[in-house]
Amino acid sequence: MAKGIPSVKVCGLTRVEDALHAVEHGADAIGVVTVEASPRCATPELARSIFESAPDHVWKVLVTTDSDPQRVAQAASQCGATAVQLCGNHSASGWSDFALPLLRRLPVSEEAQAVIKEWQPMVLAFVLDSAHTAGGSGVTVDFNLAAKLAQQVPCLLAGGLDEGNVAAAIDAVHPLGVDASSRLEATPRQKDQARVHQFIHNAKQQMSKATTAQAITSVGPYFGEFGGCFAPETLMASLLELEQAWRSAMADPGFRNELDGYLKNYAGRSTPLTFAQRLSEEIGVEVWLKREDLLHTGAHKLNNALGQALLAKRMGKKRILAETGAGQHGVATATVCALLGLECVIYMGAVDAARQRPNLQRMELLGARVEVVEHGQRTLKDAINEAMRAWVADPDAHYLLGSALGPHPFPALVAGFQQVIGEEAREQFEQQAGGVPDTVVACVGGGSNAIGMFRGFVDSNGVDLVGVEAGGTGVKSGEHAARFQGGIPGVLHGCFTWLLQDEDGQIRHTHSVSAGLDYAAVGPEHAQLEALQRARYVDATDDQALDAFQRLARLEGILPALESSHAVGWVIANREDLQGQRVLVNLSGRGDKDMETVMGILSGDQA
Amino acid sequence: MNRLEQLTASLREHDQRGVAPYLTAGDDGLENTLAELHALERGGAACVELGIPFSDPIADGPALQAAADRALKAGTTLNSVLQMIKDYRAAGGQLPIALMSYANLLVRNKLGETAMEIADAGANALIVPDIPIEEGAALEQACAAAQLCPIFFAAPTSPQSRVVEAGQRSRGFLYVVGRVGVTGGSTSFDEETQSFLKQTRELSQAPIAVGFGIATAEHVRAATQSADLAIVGTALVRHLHEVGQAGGNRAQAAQQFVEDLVTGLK
Ligand SMILES: Cc1ncc(COP(=O)(O)O)c(C=O)c1O
Repeated sequence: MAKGIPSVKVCGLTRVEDALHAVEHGADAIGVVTVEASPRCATPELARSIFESAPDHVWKVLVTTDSDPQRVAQAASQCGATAVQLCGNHSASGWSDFALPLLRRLPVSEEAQAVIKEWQPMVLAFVLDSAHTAGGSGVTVDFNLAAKLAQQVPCLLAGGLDEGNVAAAIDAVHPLGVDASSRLEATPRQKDQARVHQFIHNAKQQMSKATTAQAITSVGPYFGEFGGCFAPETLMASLLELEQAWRSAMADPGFRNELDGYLKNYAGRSTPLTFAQRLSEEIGVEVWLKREDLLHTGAHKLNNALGQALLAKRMGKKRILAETGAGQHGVATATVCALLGLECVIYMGAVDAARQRPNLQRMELLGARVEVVEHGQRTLKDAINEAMRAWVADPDAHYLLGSALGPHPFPALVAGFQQVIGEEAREQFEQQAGGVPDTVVACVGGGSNAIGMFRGFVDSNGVDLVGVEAGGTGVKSGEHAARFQGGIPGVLHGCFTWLLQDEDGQIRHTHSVSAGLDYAAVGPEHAQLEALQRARYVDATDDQALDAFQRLARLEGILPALESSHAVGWVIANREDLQGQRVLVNLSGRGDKDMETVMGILSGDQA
Repeated sequence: MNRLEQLTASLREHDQRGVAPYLTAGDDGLENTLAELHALERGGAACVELGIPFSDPIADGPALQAAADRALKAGTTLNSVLQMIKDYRAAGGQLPIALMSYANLLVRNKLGETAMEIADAGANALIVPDIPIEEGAALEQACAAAQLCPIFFAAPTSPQSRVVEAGQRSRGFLYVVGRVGVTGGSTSFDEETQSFLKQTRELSQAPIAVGFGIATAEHVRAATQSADLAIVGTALVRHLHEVGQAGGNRAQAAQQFVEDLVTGLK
């Protein structure tokens, strides 16, 4: 069966030999048009013989304007199609349980949003095409608008593509795939085989040049439909100032050099990549660990804290506010404030202050003032609420947000400071193991360590990106923080993203054994990676994390943070499916802070 | 023009000012809120701001957070508030109502449909503290279709260009945050605040309502030197809760509170 989303589709085929030729040169989808008005209309018998000629892994797409799902299902099954592309102007009603994957024509025009709204739940991808014609017209689309749509939803690009313009089109629009028809004809109903070959070649070459990476990793404010800047007016001036300062710093090699200097000489980058030999032997999966636990202060959080604190200094800020869950971000922030001579106030939920007490003490020793939050469920969410309120009252301070979430520019800014993880890991893996891993795994709280890691691999479509959320006592139990499993998109803490909420829109309580994953919303870039099916999001339970914590300790001599233990725990739990694979896990932090929690649970287990 | 636009247009026309009390809907139960709406009207309120309780109100201080918690505990939802507004209108209630809600409650279902339901219930405006002008287009569209007033904010930190734009895109009034901070602190109507309000009145195409920290008739007098409306929130909510706790009559207390506040109007 064909999988994923087609990347190069040759459409309007009317001859078996043209189909064979396209497939031979690497087209992964072929289309046959059954619209009578089309000059490339094929009879059902012809469609059948074309589809029968192609191997299983190729998408066989029946293109139709028919609005009747039953008739289309019958036609598709008669000719052996494996997908249907709808080009008519009819409504979506009746199509929601259509048996085959659907592609839907998306006019690149003002109408697009209405079409997306109606069809998005039921289609595999949209096909961007000229607004005025029903396809196969040879007219190219408005690339600017097409690029916006391709950021928003999974899209193939069609409309007047040929071997000459396809590379530029991909570069401008960043679609997941391309689709060409009329412009590849030598004479009506007959493809020019040399041009088809060249088209496929040029398309594939350009697609592999990190185009998806660019479509996905944006500088905000939006990641597709997610993200944005839902902040009180009092903060808008500060957020706009921050965005400007960030952009100017990023364009300034001096800033980058200064940050790199601190990362290397103060924080201890690069962190090693460790082959987990005994664990690998035990589970039959080759596990490689990116050792962010060895970064100064014991977690990846310092990458972001250093970047933002230098930015704050550049903006002339004297005071830093921050929230913390597990305490790692609080410690990292208190550390950089000590280093750079900045005043520091940290907000921490009372539940977290109790379960991560060593970190609370570290922050105080580092000279920070810790405000313990007694409101709400007294965890990370409530710490962010309180930090934001403090910022509303004190907009001259810099709010040093600790994960890739919140209002623009934070999600993109934090991801940018964390992507050093993925860049290093990619290079180290290439050197130590060769090539790229099969699967890359990271735990997802707000999503900063995961996005930092994923950004290093997002352009390699063959690498499976897996984000592990907190499964708590099991997603079915309701006691968890698995936003993609149990959530609904909405607005919390300044951005539109997946979040755990009840029917009325109130934010739901969450549970995780790890404070750093115990949060109701997920960073918007992850929401977009999921929407584009470039990454998948799974969960590991408290028990699986605890198991991983102990195994890594005994087999590798590493005490991982309970957050990171979720990533390892998922690998262990899914070892059957991962047999023989090379798996890279982001070990985001070390577990000293979790000793009390783990010992408490283990001694409870024994009693 | 809906009720709220008519009110503020007429205030401007006659060079008058008004008091706009704020209630957290469902604080101590919606029956109380309903009675209090009628009481505020009797007491001389010009219009009312009604807050839908949300679990994570990042622009609110401790007093309004606690009120939201109480309202949620009492089972208050957007739908139950809308029903209460219908009851208020059915009983002849005339006050223009500006509904205050955090964005998540409105986007939980389709924003356009939610706005229609809000208008059908008899509310007249939507104030969304976490929708700045950057994210305002969808709100404006939904409000336009439902004949609701979208209301944006201006704060002392807002550059002039933002104040102008927020004033242009607001209907009914522009919500002016009198001071930097969350709800519940006190605002001193010093020279700086007065000149900020005066300037905002000049920059804003829409009439202006000032909130945050207004608690007494004296504050109302100071605020309405430039503002068309003085919004009184935390002080009222706190007072009514105390009265309720002491076994007193909340509605009566609401009426008296407003009667006192309006003595500050010129
Ligand atoms: C070690 C560690 N890993 C992961 C996380 C989760 O945050 P994020 O998803 O932003 O990486 C935390 C947060 O406190 C952490 O301390």
